[in-house]
Amino acid sequence: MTPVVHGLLVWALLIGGARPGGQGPEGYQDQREAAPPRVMLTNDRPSGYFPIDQQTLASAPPILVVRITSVVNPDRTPFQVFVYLSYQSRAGQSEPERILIGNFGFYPPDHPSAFLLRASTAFRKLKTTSSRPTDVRLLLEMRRIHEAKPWTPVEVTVAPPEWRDQ
Amino acid sequence: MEDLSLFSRRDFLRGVGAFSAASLGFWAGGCESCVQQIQNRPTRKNIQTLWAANPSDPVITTYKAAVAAMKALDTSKPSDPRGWQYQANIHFNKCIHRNWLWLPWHRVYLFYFERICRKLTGDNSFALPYWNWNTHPAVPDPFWDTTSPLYDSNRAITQTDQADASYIGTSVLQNILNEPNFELFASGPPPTSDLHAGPDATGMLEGTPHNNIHGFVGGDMGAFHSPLDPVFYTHHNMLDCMWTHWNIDLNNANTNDTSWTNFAITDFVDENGNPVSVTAAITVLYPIFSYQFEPCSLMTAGQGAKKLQGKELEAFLRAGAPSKLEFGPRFELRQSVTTEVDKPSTSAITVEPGALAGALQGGSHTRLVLTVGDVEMPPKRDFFVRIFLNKPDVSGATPIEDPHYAGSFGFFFDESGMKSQEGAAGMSAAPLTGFLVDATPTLQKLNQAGSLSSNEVQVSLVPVPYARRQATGERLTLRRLELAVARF
Repeated sequence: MTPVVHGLLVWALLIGGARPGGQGPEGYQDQREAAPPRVMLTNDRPSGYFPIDQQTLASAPPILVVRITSVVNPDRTPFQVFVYLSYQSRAGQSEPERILIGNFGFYPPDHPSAFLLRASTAFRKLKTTSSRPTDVRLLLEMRRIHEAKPWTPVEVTVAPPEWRDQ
Repeated sequence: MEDLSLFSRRDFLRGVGAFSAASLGFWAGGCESCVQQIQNRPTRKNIQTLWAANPSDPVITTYKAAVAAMKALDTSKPSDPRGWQYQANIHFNKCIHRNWLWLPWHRVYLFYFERICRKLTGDNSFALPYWNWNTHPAVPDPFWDTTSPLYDSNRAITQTDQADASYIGTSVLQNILNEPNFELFASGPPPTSDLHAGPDATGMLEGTPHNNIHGFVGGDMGAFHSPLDPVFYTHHNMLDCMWTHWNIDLNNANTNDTSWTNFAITDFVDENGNPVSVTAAITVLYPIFSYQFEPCSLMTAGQGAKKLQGKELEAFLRAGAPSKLEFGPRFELRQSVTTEVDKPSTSAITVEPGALAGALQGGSHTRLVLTVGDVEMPPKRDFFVRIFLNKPDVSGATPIEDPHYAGSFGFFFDESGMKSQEGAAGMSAAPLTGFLVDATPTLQKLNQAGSLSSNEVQVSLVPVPYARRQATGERLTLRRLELAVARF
């Protein structure tokens, strides 16, 4: 199986991207800045994203590898990461739409891993959406397993997504 | 380490689908008592459902007694590998996660844990129950009695806390079961020789319900000492149930990568505390021959899933379904053959000239199947048996890379089950069993090399001791060898 990794960095220069240190899903701006090599999710800023370039969108690769390169979680608070395709469906809309690709947790909760997800269903949904999606991103969101319990310090580093054809 | 499968490892290359098509029919024909034993194999059930019907259900009672007995070993005989702490330490020190070996590794763990439970309680019908978190998202009630050996005070949750549907909900689990790709379903290959180190590739079954249930329960379950919590085994049993369903009922193939099929799992001990060695490929057979799962909502809701039971299973075994096999010529040698560790035996099967030609020329739907039949179950089974064709000078030192090597088989049937059948029938002879080997690749190779006689195939059986076992003098007796042309 040969992984096909797309040139996210190059495309991100044109499309804009997340800032190092993570970014909450508070709405999109037409930023033109270099994409970060990593996205960091923390208990304070549990969301972040990678831009998705047009080439990837056109090819709609069926498999996504989300590689978590480090997890700092001294209290071993159990948490999940949800992975979405997010997009703007209407100009001026503040909240992006989301299509869930998948979610995963960690065992033990401070052990990083790469996670394989089936992305084809989400891309199919994106293509059949009634509106014309713009500013499509790969949105990552961290959530506690026990929502009633407070966050403890958690820091997760995510490598740029790897898209695979098979 | 070579494959110790009942059948040739080549039978497994296409996963259990090919196995069931090519092998079960043979098995049924070759060993009637085995069919009965397979039919009556223990059924693993939903522990919460059992509890709701009867908190003193024998399965729960036995599980409690087994855990109590294992915990007692911790103090009475700390060196006993069947002890509770010892078993948990196996996981702590050796567990495999974040690659595709995690499923077979944990299947073997549960398989021998279940046998230890039987041995320590004397309940030979015991089948490890499972926690169906899909239908009961809270840790099942039997685990909350503070006076029970099933209780673990370290859990991070209470009896009423429920796991979230985002990782055990029906749509999430169905999505995982609908995934046909083995790597996405079951995790990817280990990229390094160190199975416990990254980088790695966690699939959906592991990354979502597996990891999150560990995190949800927390305490011991949240770390690699998770088997200290008795709920661990029921959690992994549910995962095993899902793999079984995905694999056998939904006909999804496991990887045919030999690094998976031939991977030897050697971290466990049997019910007597003796080390065991099992390849990943052989674990595919466990839910066919050694245990089964009662149907659950997930199994009946997916893609025409159909769990074979009772007469249906018998019919399936007899017919060799789902693919129908048609037999061409069969060439049989009916004579008693005895072989011994360090003393290989060679027998010759006479074949009709030209009868094998079609299969030897590589017809894609024709196989040459060797049956090693009417095998007396050896009283001591510290060895497995390698099979070589047309190599009478073979020895235990002959490598499996030798072009004459055709496959191997070992013995893993439930001895207690065999004995009970034997007793019921009033027999005193050893139970009989049988094995199949797909001899096609080897015979094709020999044919191409010009070293295949047109009217005879020699079959050499080489008993080989398992690692760290003393097997000198252990013998194997059989009464039938058959080479058949099978079309499918």
